[in-house]
Amino acid sequence: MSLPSFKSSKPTSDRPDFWVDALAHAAFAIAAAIPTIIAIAMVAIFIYESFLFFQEVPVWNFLTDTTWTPLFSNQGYGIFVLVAGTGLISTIAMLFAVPVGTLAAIYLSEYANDPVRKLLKSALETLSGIPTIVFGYFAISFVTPALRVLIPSLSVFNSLSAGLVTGVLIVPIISSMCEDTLRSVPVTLRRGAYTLGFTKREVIQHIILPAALPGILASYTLAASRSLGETMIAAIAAGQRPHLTLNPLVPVSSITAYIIQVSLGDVPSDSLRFHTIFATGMVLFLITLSLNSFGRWLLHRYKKGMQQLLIPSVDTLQGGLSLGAIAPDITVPSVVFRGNLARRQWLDRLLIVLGFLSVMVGIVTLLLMALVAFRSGFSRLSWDFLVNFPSRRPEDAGIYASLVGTIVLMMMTAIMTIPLGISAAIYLEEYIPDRPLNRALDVLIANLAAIPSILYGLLGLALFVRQLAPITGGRSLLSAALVMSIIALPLVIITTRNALRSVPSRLRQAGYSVGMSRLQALCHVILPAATPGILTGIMLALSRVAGEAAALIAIGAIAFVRVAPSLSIEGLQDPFSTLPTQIFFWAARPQDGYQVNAAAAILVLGGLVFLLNLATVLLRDFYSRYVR
Amino acid sequence: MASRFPSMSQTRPDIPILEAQDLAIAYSGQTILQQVNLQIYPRQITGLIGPSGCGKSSLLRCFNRLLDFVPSAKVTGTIRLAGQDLCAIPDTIVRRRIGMVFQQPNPFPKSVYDNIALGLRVNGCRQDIDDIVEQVLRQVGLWQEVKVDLNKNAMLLSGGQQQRLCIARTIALQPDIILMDEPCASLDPVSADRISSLLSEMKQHYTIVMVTHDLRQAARITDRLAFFNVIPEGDRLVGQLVEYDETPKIFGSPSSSATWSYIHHGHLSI
Repeated sequence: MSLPSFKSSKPTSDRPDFWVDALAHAAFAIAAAIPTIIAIAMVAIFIYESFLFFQEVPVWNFLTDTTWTPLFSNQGYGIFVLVAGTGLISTIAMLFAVPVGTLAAIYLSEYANDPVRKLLKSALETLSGIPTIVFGYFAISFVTPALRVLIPSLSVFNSLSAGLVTGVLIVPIISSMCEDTLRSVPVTLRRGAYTLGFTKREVIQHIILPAALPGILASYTLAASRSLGETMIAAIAAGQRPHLTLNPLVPVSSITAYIIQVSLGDVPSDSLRFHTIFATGMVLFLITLSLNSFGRWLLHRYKKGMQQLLIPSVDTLQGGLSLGAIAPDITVPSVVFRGNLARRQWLDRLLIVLGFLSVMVGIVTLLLMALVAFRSGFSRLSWDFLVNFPSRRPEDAGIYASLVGTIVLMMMTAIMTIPLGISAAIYLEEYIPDRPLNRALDVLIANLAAIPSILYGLLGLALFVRQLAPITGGRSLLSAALVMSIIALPLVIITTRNALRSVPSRLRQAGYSVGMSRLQALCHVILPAATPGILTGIMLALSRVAGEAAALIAIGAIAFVRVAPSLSIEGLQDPFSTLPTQIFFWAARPQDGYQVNAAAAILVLGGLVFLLNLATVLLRDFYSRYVR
Repeated sequence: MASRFPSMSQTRPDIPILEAQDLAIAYSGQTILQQVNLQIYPRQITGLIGPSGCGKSSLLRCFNRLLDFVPSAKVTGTIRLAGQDLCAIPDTIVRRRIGMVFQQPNPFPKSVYDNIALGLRVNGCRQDIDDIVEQVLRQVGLWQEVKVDLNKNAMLLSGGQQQRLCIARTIALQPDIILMDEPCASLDPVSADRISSLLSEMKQHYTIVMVTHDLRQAARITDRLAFFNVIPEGDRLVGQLVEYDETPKIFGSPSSSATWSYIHHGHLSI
């Protein structure tokens, strides 16, 4: 992308608004520095806490113990136990998601016609927008009981159910990335294969899949990283019992589930147990970071390779050979084709059916999840449920405190994230495009966005809950909002950058050509044109905030909040609860009444996210129709 | 299967191997080419010439049913391959028997050997593939250049070599007809010249139908020429077959003045 651009025209000092421009420039630059600060804080805290941990537990024991029992009297610190549990759940998830996701991608990119593809694709993408706590509830309330009918020896908590549901969660990641990759294979290659008498299945198998392989592997890597960091499903359905096993039918614990388990108690910040969760978090951080980097490297290589496919090479032998080298007099031995056409066509149809079924797996799960929540929770929905506080009697309990908590949390996060995220994106996209610094920050932000949210929870626990307790009030709504802002910031920056990038450069040039300064062009031309895209990004980030449970449990959301948060300094420093955390606490209780409450709360959460989406669509529509 | 759809490579030269009857092509309901009646004779090179947008390439894609993949395209009329309705033959068989070479060389990102062997294997050839690969590479004059390393990735070949490789993988299947869509248009003059010579020598064995904008090439290597032109119909332009005859006649004394002015003055009379 080295087109001549007008982006970097320097403001000159003879303009009256030079200082305004310079001030804005400085403000944008400061905002763009925040992701770096977050990354440094994250790494520093994890290294510091792990260092304290290894002062007490030898590295050797950490790596070689075969038990993980920090909470018992004979303490074992074998991280391998947790890594194995995490790996087992991820492996089951990948075994499910790789074939289903790939076949779904093949169906969507190669077989489905345009309207069908759009419909099925948006249905699949809806699946990836659902809060993971809902998946966790689905695992424990539907998948596990259903599996126990098939496998009577299955424990109530097991890695099979957790793995399968995690698999459904990552299917959209694989299918949408794979589909993009498959569609980017040049059409000329397909045509070449078709003209040799290939069936569609043969084109896919022999030409498209091999050409797209690096991109496909990248999607697997990123999906695996996501499944390793998945917290709520493992915490609810896998059992939180660390032991070394490869049996998918018994309870295990993952790194993330262990962190949640410890976070549920109040751990003193100088205790070994506190250091332990950071040491385990560090391991998760390193694993996911290396997987993400590897995946991104593969993807980068693939894109480069695809570009090279389209660049013709120079004829090095030009003129070096005489025309006499052609010897067409040789007759080719007569070729007989014994291909069984019926079998080839049958395989082609089989692939269509498998692909369609794979797409349907995701969509049926989506419908099933809605059905399960409706069936058990709908009767519980009432005005009382919305305005009551939590109670020890499930039938009296309500979600008032968590609903208000969620809404206040979303508002506070929006206030902090939107200006910062947009400013940072403007700086990266408009002020320093195509510089090494830009590319480095690009990689940094992409990595920040892929860090499991539970690790942000730990960052918040150390930084906001402990160090800044005098300001934040410890386990408070303010701490929660700060953590959620850190989680949402990379998302807002990435989507805003994409929106800014999609503004055609002729609009910029038009702005400069009528004598606007860079800031004026930004305010009057570029930002208005990018607003629909930016709105979508903000909406995505806010629904992530509304659905986040893991990070908030890590910083100490509590199960019983008896006052709704008030919008005062004291109110924001109070203990808090949100809808997803309330669902977690209810879903974790065995009584039927609480399970029904969890389902009803899921319906409210679903409704809230739906309203958010609707509002954005309407706002975007209104904006592009009347304002622009 | 092989017996039900026999290859017709032994047909008599005076009987057309491919016949189009009242053919019309429409995209999204808009006709772009109409009333095409055309006979392709074996072991000849038939050239399709005419201004851009008159539907020559679409016509070519009809012949091997590649247009089936364009959902908005609709073809009416009949095409017969050796007397058999094209629609009655399974599309993969049609494409094996009617090969195609494109303007932009499109070898697969695989080795030179696999580029040729893959088509043979997929179509169920159980013979000595090594031998066939060598023979077709010799036939397109690529053998001397690539025999050192048949496992070299085909993407590393030059444009002209890539195009000859694409021709080689097409003739390996021993098609009845080879369709070519401006096979030299994206090549430098030297490579283009080599392809032209190759084609004129290939016609002893193969039937070739090619779209070309290079009238010099058309005069040099084609046996018959079909001139297409656009004709106003309502407020739109529709392609039509104006004249179809032996090449010397088209160049020397065409029956239509439109053909004459296109060929000799590069001028379109609409």
